[in-house]
Formats: sequence, C-alpha cells, structure tokens
Amino acid sequence: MPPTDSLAELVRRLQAGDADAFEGIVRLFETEIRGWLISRCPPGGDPDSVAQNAFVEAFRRISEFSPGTDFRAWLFTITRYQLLAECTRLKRHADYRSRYALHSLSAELERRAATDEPDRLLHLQECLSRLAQPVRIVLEWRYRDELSLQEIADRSNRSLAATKKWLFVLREKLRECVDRKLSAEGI
Amino acid sequence: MTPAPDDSPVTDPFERLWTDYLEGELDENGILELNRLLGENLQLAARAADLYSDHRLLGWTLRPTDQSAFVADTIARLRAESEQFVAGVRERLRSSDDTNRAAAPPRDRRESHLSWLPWLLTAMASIALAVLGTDRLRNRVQPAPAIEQKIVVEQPIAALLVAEVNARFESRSAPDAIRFGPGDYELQEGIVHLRFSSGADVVIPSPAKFTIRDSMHMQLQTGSLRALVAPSAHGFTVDATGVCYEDLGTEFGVSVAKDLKQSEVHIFGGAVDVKSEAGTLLSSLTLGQSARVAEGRVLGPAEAPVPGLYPTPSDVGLLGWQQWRDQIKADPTLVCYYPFESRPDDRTVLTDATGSRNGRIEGARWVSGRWPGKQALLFDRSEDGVEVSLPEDYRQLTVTAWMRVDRVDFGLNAVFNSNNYVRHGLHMQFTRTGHPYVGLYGNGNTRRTEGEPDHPGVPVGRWVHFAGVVDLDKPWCAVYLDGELADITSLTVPNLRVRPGLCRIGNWAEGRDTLNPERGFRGRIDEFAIWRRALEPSELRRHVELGRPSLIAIEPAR
Repeated sequence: MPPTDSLAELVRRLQAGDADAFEGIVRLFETEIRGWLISRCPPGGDPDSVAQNAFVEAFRRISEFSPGTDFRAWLFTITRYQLLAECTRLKRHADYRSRYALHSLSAELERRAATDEPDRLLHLQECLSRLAQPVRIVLEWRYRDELSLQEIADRSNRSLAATKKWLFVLREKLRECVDRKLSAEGI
Repeated sequence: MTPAPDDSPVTDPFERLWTDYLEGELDENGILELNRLLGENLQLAARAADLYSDHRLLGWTLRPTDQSAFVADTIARLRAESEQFVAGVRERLRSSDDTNRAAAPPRDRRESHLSWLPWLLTAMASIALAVLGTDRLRNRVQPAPAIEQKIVVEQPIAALLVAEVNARFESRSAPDAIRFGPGDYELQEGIVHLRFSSGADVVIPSPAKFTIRDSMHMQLQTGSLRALVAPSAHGFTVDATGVCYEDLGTEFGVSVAKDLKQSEVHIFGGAVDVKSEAGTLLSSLTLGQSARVAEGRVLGPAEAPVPGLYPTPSDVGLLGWQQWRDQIKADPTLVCYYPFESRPDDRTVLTDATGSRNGRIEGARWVSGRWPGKQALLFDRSEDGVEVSLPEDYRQLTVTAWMRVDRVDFGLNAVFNSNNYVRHGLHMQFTRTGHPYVGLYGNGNTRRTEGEPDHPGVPVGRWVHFAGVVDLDKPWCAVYLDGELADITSLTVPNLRVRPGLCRIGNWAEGRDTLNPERGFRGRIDEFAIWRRALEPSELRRHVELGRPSLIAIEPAR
C-alpha cells in the first residue's frame, strides 16, 4: 500500500474490490480502535478479538458505506456494536454467574460502551510522560516486564505492602491527571 | 506526581481490595466484598471503571506491541472467514442446482426475489473478487439463478426475534441482530421465537435449519417449529419435504425427520391445507388431526408428538425466566429473593432463594403465574399477605415485584408495606387511580411528585414489573413500572434512614389510619426481590426484558 493513500482513496479502492486497501485501513485505525476497546471491554473480554471482528465486519459491509461521509464514525459505530455484542456474550456465558466477576464494574463499562465517553488513552500517555523516571520505572516493571509485586518490592527495597500501596497511589494519581485533562477539555 | 510509599497499614477497604483484584489475588470473599462496595456506591463504581480502563491502557501502552502482527492477524482472519464463505457458496451452488432440477419453486416466490437479484450479484461478485480475485471463482459466481435463494444479504425485514433462550446460530446463517431478512438460517443451540411482519409467530427449537422467503413463507429443512397465525397472516405457509403446509387460521406444528425425507404436521387449532409445490390440494386437516408426508404424498396420520418438539411462546418465556432466576439469586447485593415456588412440605412458607429470609404466607393462595408452570400467590381477601422481616438499616434499597392487579378496592393499595406506622418504615403503594409511590414514614408531609405526572400508572388485568427505589444519597424515592419512571419523590427530612422492620407483601398490617385502614392488594404476585442498592433504570429494563410474560413488546401501561 502506498503510504500516501488517503483514507478516501483507500475506501474507494476497497469498495471497488481492491482487498489490499483493507490492510491500509486496518493500519490507519488499529491504534485508535484497539485503545478505545481496551479501555471499555469488561473483564473477561478480549478487546483485540473484538477489534478484529469490527474490522472484518467493516469489510463485509463496505458496500453500505456512503463515500463522502465520516468513515471513522462509521467504523466506530460498528466497533461499538461489536463491543456491546461481546458484553452480551460475556453476560450470557459466564460473568453473571461467575463468583469472580465484578458486576457493577462490568455494568459501568457496558454503559460506557454504549455512550460517547471521552477517550482516556492520549491523556494517559501524556500523564505518563510527565512521571519522573524513578516512579515510571515501577509502572514499567509492573506493566512492561510483568514482574510480580514481590519482585517489584525486592527490586525497590520496599515491603510488599508498601509496593501495593505505591501502585495504588500511582494509579490514582494517573486517574486524577487524566480526569483533570478531560475536565480542561470541557467534557 | 511523586507519591512516597510507606509501610503504614491500608485502611481504605477499596484500596486493599482493588489492588489485589488487579493482581488477580482476590479470593471469593474479597470479590463479594468488592462487589458490595461497588454496588452500594455508584461513584466508586465509576472510579473503579476509570482505574480499570487506565490499568488496561497502561498494559497496552507500556508493553511493546507489534502493529504488523495485529494487522496480519486481522487479514488472516478475514481470509479464513472468506474462504469458509466461498466454500459455503460452492456447496450451495451444488445443492441449489440439485434442488432446482428436482423441483422448481412456484412462480410467485421466485418473483419476490427478482428485485434484489442484481444487488445480490453485485455483492457476491465484489466480495469474492476482493478476497480471492480468481477467474475460477468468478466463473462459479456467475450462475445467478442457482444462488438467488441461498445467500443472506441486506433485505427488508421479514421477521423479528422477539424472544430467545441461549440461541446460537451458525455464523454464516445468522440473523442481523434481531432482524431476519429472506435467507437461510441454522439454529445450532437454544430456542427462538420469531414474529413475522405478517403477524405469524413461529417458535423454533434447536437444532433446525430453515429458510425465510418473505413474511408469509418459510421453509423448514430440518428440525421442528410451532406456528401461531394471527388473522392478518392467514395463508402463512411452511414448506417441508416437497409439500406446502398452508394455514387457514390456526396453530400448528411441523417437523422434518432426521433423514430429511419425511415431515409431519399436527394441528393444535383451526385448519391447515397440505398442498403440493404446484399448488394441488393433498389434504385438509383440522383441530387434533395430523399427517405424515413424504415425497409429496400424504402417508397417513402421524403419531403423537414427543414432549418438547413443538414448544409454545410461553415455554420460551418460562425457560428464559428459569435461567434468569438461577442467575439473579447469585447476586451478592440481594437482601432476599422470592421466586414464588411453593414448598410441598409447607405451603405457608415463601422461600427466600438467597436462603436467609423466608416469608410467612397469611391467607394468600397458590395459583398460576406469568406462564403455565410458574406459580404465584393470589391476594384477594382482607387478611391475605406475606410477612417478611427486614430489621436492618439501609442507605439504598430497591424492591421489585412482578404483579397483576385484578381490581383496585381501596384508596391506597399496598405492594410492600412496613407494618403499622414506624419511623423509617417503608410504604410502597398505589392509589385508586393507579398512581404508584414509595414513601418513608418520618419524611414529614412534604411528599411531592416531581416527575412523570402523566404516567398512566399501575395497569389492571395484565402483568407489570413494579420497582421501588429508595436512595438516601440522592436523596429520593422513585417508582418504575415496566422499567419506566412513574414517580419520584424528594426526601426532605434530614437524618433519614430506611428500616423496613416487619413488613408485608401485598398488605398493610394494623394501620391506625382511619381514612385508609385497609390497603390489601387484589391480584397476583409471582416474583419479588429486594436489593441493598439502588438499581439503575437500565438494570430494571433488563429485568423487564427477561421476565415479561408476553413475548411481544409490552404495551404502555393504561
């Protein structure tokens, strides 16, 4: 796919039967769609699988897209319905009966899936970039290297309890930072 | 943002539970506790959702990801599904060629598809060429007449899914959400109830393969179905094994044997004509009659159907409710849940499915509920009621009931009332005009209706879902009927509590109110539950959806 292809050109080619254009569209929206889904998919759901379903569904329905209208909005509508279908599947098959499901959390995430809640990804990345390195490294150990809390405690010469508390406080600070940025946007 | 960790003990229960939850270290009791915390505090649930979103995004942001891998996986997935699709097309081409040779469909049915044939060909060709782009496939797609009846594409809606239990369709033969256009369908699991736009209702248990031609015609390839045909759909036809079963205003069942060579029809009401595909009348059947048919010929009467072969819409409703009952009773925020199932050893006990608060039935009698096989209690005498004890204090409380009012005898009619006049007691009632409300005794005389004054109120003569919600954090009380807000009342007195104490379902005990001394409910109640949280309207609507007695959408209250 030539990198200069615009979205409109990719859509035109796809509607004309050029399957290669589909890959270009996936590349264009992959990060945004996956990030949107990852922040909304209830526990037990696979956001990447939902993202793939959404792209495949968009391919199948490409003839329904009206050129000149907002393709991104069209794609996100498909994605939202795929996520709601995943929420329904989770509820039907496991979550409600599961002894390890947080029902209120799932309900809140499902509510957000159906609405235009603002996206947290970009703000979170910005808040993360402002963290001092000694603080950020703890998050990297946890999320990038997937160390256990005990390993993180050992590396940082802290107790397990202090490490847990630190992580909780860090997550709360990040949440507050994202919320401040969203408020500043007037959302 | 440089928080300093320390070793001081964690005192915030949410902090302790949430960290363990994200680490996968929370045990069952911890989950229960965290569920309780989140269920009692919607703001905390929203905060948890933010934290959860950030947690997932952190993992995604900080872990190196390979965009190419995702793109490649997506393309591979599309290709795999498309190859299955194309294989399916080929198979259908073969089978359709055979079918067309064996018997051409009546002319009127073929014509009904001509309007979308060009679109179909375009869609088929574009999909196939986009995915494979082979001359070989392009050649296979060309025989348009052979595939015209077989491919599901966007079509006018012929039928809607109005109820289902665990329904799962084969992925390439599935409806578009609840919409069924003309096309092929394969139900692999569960049971569905379809309503055709003509007015015919069809219940199909799995496994079954069927084709919807339009709002008046369908074909059953394998499995069984029950059709209930409204006057508007007279002439509704089910094709099977080379004959057409044409309704003459009736309720009938059709099944196709496993060898696909023989079908049966059973007439549960009205009459059905059995016709050849060319339209020749082979037999007319009326109430109680049946027929076995093979190779376009009527062989004779069929044996009595095995139980469950032709489920009714009520069967679908009851089955769905039974699953719902089993799910709901595991909700840790329930205070008590009465599914209204009598105990053979003691019919004066109303069993609490959560196990802790059985009610004591006084006078009310066991009768039938929303569906055949579902029990209810009938309240129609002065002393009828069920006594329940709720001595605890609550900040939030939701009471729900499925009830059917037979008549309204009094100025105030109790759904669920604390006995006597006790401070902080709960009173859920409706007036003679049907207006429902929830009150807390001790809220002074400041009750005022704030919302939905035009709501038609509690209906008479049909089942309705009643939900009373008290939330001292708002602070207000609200009533929802069938999931729609019917009344909301401010709680204006400070330091209120909710302490129901000894209560009655369907009555009010020992009132000193000389104006409204009797408040007995007159009708049936067949499900009752109390939560220690304020249920969201979306949850209440889901309760209505899963418990509604009619499988068609509920009409607005009177």
